[in-house]
Amino acid sequence: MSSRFQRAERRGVALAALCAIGLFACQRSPQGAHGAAVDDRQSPNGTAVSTLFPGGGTAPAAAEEGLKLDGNPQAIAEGKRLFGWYNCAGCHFNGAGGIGPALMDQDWIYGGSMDQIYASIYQGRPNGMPSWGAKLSTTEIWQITAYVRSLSRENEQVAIPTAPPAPTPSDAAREPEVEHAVPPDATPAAATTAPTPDAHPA
Amino acid sequence: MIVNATELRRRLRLLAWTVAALCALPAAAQSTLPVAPASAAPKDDGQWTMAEKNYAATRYSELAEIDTASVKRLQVAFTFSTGVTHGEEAAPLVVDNTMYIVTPFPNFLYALDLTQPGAPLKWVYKPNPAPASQGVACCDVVNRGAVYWKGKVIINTLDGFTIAVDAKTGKETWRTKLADINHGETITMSPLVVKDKVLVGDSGGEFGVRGWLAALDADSGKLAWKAYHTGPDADVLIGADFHPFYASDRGKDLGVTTWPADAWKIGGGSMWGWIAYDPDLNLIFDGVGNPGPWNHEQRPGDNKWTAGVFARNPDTGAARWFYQTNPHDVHDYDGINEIVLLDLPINGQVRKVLVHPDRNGYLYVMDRATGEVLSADIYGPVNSITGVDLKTGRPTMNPDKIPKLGQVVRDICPTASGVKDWNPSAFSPRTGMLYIPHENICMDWESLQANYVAGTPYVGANVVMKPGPGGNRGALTAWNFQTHKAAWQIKEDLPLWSGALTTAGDLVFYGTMDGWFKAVDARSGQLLWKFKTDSGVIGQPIAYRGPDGREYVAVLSGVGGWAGAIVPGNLDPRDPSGALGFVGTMADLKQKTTPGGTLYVFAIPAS
Repeated sequence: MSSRFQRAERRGVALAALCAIGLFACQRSPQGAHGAAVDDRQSPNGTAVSTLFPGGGTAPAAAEEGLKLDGNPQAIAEGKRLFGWYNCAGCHFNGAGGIGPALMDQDWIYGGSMDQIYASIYQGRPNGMPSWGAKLSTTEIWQITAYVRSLSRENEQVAIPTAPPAPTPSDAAREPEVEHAVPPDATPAAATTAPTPDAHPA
Repeated sequence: MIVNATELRRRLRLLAWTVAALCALPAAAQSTLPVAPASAAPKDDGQWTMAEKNYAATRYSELAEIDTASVKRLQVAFTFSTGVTHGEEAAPLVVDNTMYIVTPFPNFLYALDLTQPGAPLKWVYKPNPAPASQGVACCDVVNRGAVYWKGKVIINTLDGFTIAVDAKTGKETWRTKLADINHGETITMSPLVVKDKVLVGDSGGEFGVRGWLAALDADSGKLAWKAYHTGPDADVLIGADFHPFYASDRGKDLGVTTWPADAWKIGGGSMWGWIAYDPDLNLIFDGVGNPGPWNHEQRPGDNKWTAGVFARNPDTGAARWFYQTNPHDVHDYDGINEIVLLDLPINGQVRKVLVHPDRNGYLYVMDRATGEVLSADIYGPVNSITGVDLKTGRPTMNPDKIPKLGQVVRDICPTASGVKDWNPSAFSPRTGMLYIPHENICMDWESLQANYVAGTPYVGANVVMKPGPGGNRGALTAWNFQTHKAAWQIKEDLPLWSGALTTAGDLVFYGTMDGWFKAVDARSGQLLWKFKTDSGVIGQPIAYRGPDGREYVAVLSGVGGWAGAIVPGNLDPRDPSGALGFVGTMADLKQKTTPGGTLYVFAIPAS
């Protein structure tokens, strides 16, 4: 028992030391990697991905930048451009999803608040979402976040550059000759619907 | 003798049939049907040791207990839940009274004991692939099957490993890393073993990979050779033995010079489909995937050696010939579809051919020794290519259907996934026909500027698919090589994404994306039996002889794959561009089926 406490204590000391270094670093250099001001609340580490707080509790307060850009048309427009440029659209398309999940529905695996979307983009997620924190500026991530939020909120904003599908193409395609057209699929009389497990040999 | 009218009609009919049969006999004897070469398709032992059944890739079972008459009594013998609800594209294997099935990610490998009632689990092997690999798999997290070789079951994992597992114990014997997910590479194809070498290719044509085919020593897993599909000749294993049939495939380092500077390094040309092997010629044949990005204006040139077929020496990997079905592909027409080896009578002469129903809608019949195209016929609706010039080997493109940056080019047929995609055809020597499960889908295409970021999609196109002429999105076509026509065709509402199986009982088995598993008469196409499984069927059906000597038919049910991604991925049907455009034509699939993952095995109940 005592050794476990000692380990916990050591971890506490190490954590405090790390925090001190972090503060010192912030004081020394108030600019982030991409020139944006560093805000603790812009770090995804302060975001709760879960809504389960043992014994009660609430999510941390929302980051100001997120509150500011949520629904902001300029941020959404810029975010849409970045969403294409960094190939987010290659996986999520115009909201339907494909390789990655749909973004225009109301299902959020890792949370749908501005902070949670920001955290997902910044950190990446284990089932295939890449980590973008080292590749994009915090501003870019917030703008993409604003666009992603807009997809589920206002589906009419999704611009699909191609027309809805027509039942058949207007241009005649050459078709192979078929010597014998098979009559329409009729249910055969003997179609089985229930498994008969005893058919297997003993 | 008094004969009533009914009896008279019966006798006349009998006479007519007898005369017809007698007249037909000499004709039948003269016109020999195509057959698979015996060296590549040996006599059936009732097992199923590789996804393709044999090196000729016929997917034909010589078992005949289940036939056109008895099939109506076919019932479920047993089922097994894979515990995975993504696209189940694999073929089950049956060796030494054990069935082996590999699932989509996380690529569980199950061994089932066929000698016991209900086929209980013998062992399960879990390779623990990196979950992040799911983020670089273009079209669902599928796996197309395992292969058995000398006491080992060999699988590929989505995160890029080839792994050999002891067939008796389920213990891993070796694992070799071949692909790197941080550069967009995954592995989904079913490996093939030829002369103690495991042949494996990569997926990732939509992620700017540089595609390859590799050979591993089956005993140790050590790399024997690796042939890239772009780049300098030395990397492609093009040397003195390389003799392509057509002039446009001759020249030094075409894998570099047919690309803009350095574009070949991220130019695709993956190999995620099928390989055939001719032991007499000592050649393997494999199809190569599409060039990247899809926006073709970013890669002027023929983009060798993508979108075509290679013949190679399996011992060294040395290329013998190459034929490019789609030089400078502009529509994502991969060349990875199945290659079936046949000895085919053409103009009174039996030719050693390979047949390849390509994504572009043409069924190629080629001399497999030389790579010469003997014929190329459309087997589904096509307007993007008007014909194939047999002198140059090149397709004639319809200029109106070539995508342009910033424009939406509408109604291109076939769609990006082709008249058919990966799901393989089956050949029956009893009818001489190839049974092709395929699609009937067209598309609108808008090219966009693609930006290469390693490990992310490199596509540059906004595609929306739509049903093709007639509105049926799928079809099963019985192809007659003598007439160069479809002998018959069954139209299906949904795209056919399952493989086909033929048997000596003159049956063709296939599945539909809403969950029906069907048996039709190989001669007429008439539906004889069907069974509704719990999810869409996109797997490869097989037939085997059970320990009791009876015939069994097995298939995995579980919708997904590129065409079915909307269901397991829970994609939103309101954006038709989803899943590289497939959502556009599959918006109704969620109303027709739900995710699943179940093995179904059928037999005629013992009397």
